Amino acid sequence: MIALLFTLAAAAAPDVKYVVKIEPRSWQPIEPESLEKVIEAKSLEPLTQKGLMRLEKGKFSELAEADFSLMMEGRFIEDAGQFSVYITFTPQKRSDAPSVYVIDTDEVEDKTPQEMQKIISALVVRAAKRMATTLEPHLRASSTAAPLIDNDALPLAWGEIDVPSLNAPTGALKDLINVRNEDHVRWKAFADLKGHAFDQPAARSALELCVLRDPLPKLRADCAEALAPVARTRIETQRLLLHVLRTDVEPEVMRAVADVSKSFVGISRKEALATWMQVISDDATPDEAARSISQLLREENGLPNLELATSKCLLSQALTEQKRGACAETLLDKVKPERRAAVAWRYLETAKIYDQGAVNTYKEVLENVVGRSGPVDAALADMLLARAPRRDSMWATHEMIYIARRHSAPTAATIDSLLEVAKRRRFASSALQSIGEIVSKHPELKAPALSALKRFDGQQTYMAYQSHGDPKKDLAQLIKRMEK
Amino acid sequence: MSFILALLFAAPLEVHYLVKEEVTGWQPIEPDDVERTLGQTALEVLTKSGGIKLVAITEKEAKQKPPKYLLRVLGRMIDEAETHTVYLSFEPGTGSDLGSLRASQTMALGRLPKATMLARITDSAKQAAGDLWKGLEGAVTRVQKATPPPPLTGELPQIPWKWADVVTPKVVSLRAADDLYSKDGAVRKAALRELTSLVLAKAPPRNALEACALKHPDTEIRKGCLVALRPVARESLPTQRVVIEVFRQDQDSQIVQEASDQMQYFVGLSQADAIAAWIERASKAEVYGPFAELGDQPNLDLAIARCMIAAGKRPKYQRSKAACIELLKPVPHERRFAILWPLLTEVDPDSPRYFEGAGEREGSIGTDWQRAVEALLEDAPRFVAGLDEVLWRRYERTLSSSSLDLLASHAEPNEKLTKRMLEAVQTGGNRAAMSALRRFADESEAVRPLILEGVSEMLATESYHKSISKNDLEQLVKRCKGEKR
Repeated sequence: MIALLFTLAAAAAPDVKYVVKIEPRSWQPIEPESLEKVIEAKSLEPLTQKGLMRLEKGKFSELAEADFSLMMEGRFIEDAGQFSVYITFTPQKRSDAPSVYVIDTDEVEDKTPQEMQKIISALVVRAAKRMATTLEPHLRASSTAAPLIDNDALPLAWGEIDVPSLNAPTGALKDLINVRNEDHVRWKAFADLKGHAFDQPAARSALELCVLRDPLPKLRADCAEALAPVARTRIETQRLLLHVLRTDVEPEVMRAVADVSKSFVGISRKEALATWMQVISDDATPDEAARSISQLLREENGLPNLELATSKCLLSQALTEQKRGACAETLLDKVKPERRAAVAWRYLETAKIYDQGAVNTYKEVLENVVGRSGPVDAALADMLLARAPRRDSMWATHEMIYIARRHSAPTAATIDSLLEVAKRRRFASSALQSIGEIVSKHPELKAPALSALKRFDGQQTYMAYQSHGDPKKDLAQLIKRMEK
Repeated sequence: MSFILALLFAAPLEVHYLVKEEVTGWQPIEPDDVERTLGQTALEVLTKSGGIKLVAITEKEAKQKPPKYLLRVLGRMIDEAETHTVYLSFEPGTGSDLGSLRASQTMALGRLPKATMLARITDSAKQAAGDLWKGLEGAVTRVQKATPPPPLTGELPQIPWKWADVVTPKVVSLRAADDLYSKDGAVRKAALRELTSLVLAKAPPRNALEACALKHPDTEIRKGCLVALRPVARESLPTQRVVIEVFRQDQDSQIVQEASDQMQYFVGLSQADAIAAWIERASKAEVYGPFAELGDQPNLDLAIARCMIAAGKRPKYQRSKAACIELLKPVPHERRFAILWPLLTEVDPDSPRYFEGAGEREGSIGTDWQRAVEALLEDAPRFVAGLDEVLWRRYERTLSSSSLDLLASHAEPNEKLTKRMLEAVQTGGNRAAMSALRRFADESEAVRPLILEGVSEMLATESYHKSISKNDLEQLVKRCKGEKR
């Protein structure tokens, strides 16, 4: 029996095709081919050791043929003396697990090739383990329902950035980076330097320091924009700007940097997208910046860590409702429809809805998950009804009551739940209407519903509320209609 | 039967609890050891009286199926300050009949042996649990006996938070830190720029800015220092404590607003502290923070009651209690009653408890009086007993139109009220009173003859206010007679 179970479990492990690629750089202390072998060898063990997946090497053109695909990439970062590894897990034929993007970086500067290889091996193992840990609950799911996504962190480790330095700067260089200078002095220096960012490394370094450290947000934003021509191709500048996007909290700076990062290509583009996803889902991000990034994400597809980031954003603890709204509007819409319930479930279950902004977000999420028509999964409808009477549901209670009308398998308990909601005057008429609709679609519930309604009628009173209808009359009419 | 009832009354209230030590940058004792100590101590104190029965629950279970009452025992170490704070938070989950309460204690642990640290943590958990039980005991008994919360009357107690002193590390050998206090304004500003640019990179500039945000005598520099802390306050616990302290202590409204804005990004226990600070400030009728998103919070009821009185002590033209009334949104009816009733029954316009109104102009403009009564009735299962007297008294004294509107819309018909409505029609030609009489005539056979007779007399003697038309009165008579409307 146990052997059979093991066999079944093993049989359930998905087929995953993988490719390995090293991005060629001007600084390449180890041959790409031998590095590819290291990455392949070191990542396979953590990913397969628990029987999570069956890996098979393939070509880019074959990735879509498997259940899922894995892309393992790496690159050296010249000036920083670092190596980064990137592993991307993407659903292909199957969609019962989220897309996951893992990144990790380590220092390899001033090391012998053997030492570098050792560091890179450890780095790859670390990244692969993080990937396996993130995927395990999803690939090991024992039930047919997709496991809920409620990660509180994304599997990204960015490493340190290389802070540029200037030796004995003079003139505009000195004026810009010496922040004790008054604003107008630094602005003038910036105006002198901004045209030289592409050609003069010293000007570029000064502008990079300005983005990192200038006390004036507007100047930081302008310095970021001035770096745009360099940032199209220079990885160190790209990484510095993405670091700023993750650490600055001023919306105008974040907006400028995000805008510049649109031009990144290759692995840097993936880093940019992963950073956008991290930033929008991060508790520290202000609403305005989240909205700007949300606009950028609107045009993108194939977003790394989409489901993890969407869930994290919806469950964010910071008291910034607009950001949650932006995620509901932009990100959830990009999740495959069949995966949306797993992504949004925990939010739908626990969201505190006290004001109109929160109601709007909740409605948006709910509509994304269940659509505008058609039956709603029974478990989801039951969960919504169970939370509907809670005070932290407020006006979203109406949405929950309407969803009950689309319950795919209502029972007598569904009627009882609706009557629990109907105890509050403001929701009574809607709840009673829902009961009427449910019974008309499911006549087998007529008898238990009628009995529950009569019992409810005997116990429930409402305060008079002129010109706001009378729930007792609605109740009497419903009973009369059902008795016919 | 009485034996069973006695048993029922004696049954302890079931409260689920979870214990968690937040892992921070300074962890001189294993979090598991601290958790065990906190859990054991809190349980011992809180279950001593037999009033509550504590049942363990995990965070995940609490999320999936919120219990009726939840007790969180939380703790965390703060580096730099080298302190440990324990938070005991009693939260009504699905049961909102009890307000939520929170108690906390902070102990300095710096450079102590592990055993002494644990002994101090035990002491602080004991004190916090004792404080929590003091606030909870009466409420638990009340819930066990199924009685409503008593009105918050008389001298209200202070909000029972115990805030630890916030001390920032001394900064040495940093010129910019000294320059912040230079007599030369340009030097001060240059120093502020320098420290701002370094805040994310090193601890001493951050510490210098923290000290400045707390104590710098120049308001503009103090604000600049606080603004400079924005990025680091998203993550650093010591900085978050400083920001909260600035919010609590500073008197400059712009600085307080900046601190409040930063606090919106705090999470975990820092968010709990931020909420406590917002509530504390609200109790002084200074409402900051995203209250619309917060929901029911510890000591909210007391804070609202204090907020109303604090607002009422201001000069007459600044007395609006509107912001305090807004805070009632997440509070269920029984608890609203306990807060509002002592104020609604106040008739002395000079009392801080008095709700300002606008007499006959109410209805066209929102007033505290109208908002307060509407808040009381918003979720009421039935018209509040005695409220008809309160509303009528208000009408009599101030000709409050909203009072008559509310009576007309919600009050249960009775003889006394019917006579009053007839009087309001006759003397004031009040349309709300006409509307009340129409509803009463429809809903109550008992008062219908009274209305018929009263209105008929008005028609016969022509003694009614002429803003009411004769036709309206005749229609009302027909309604009372059951004739077609």
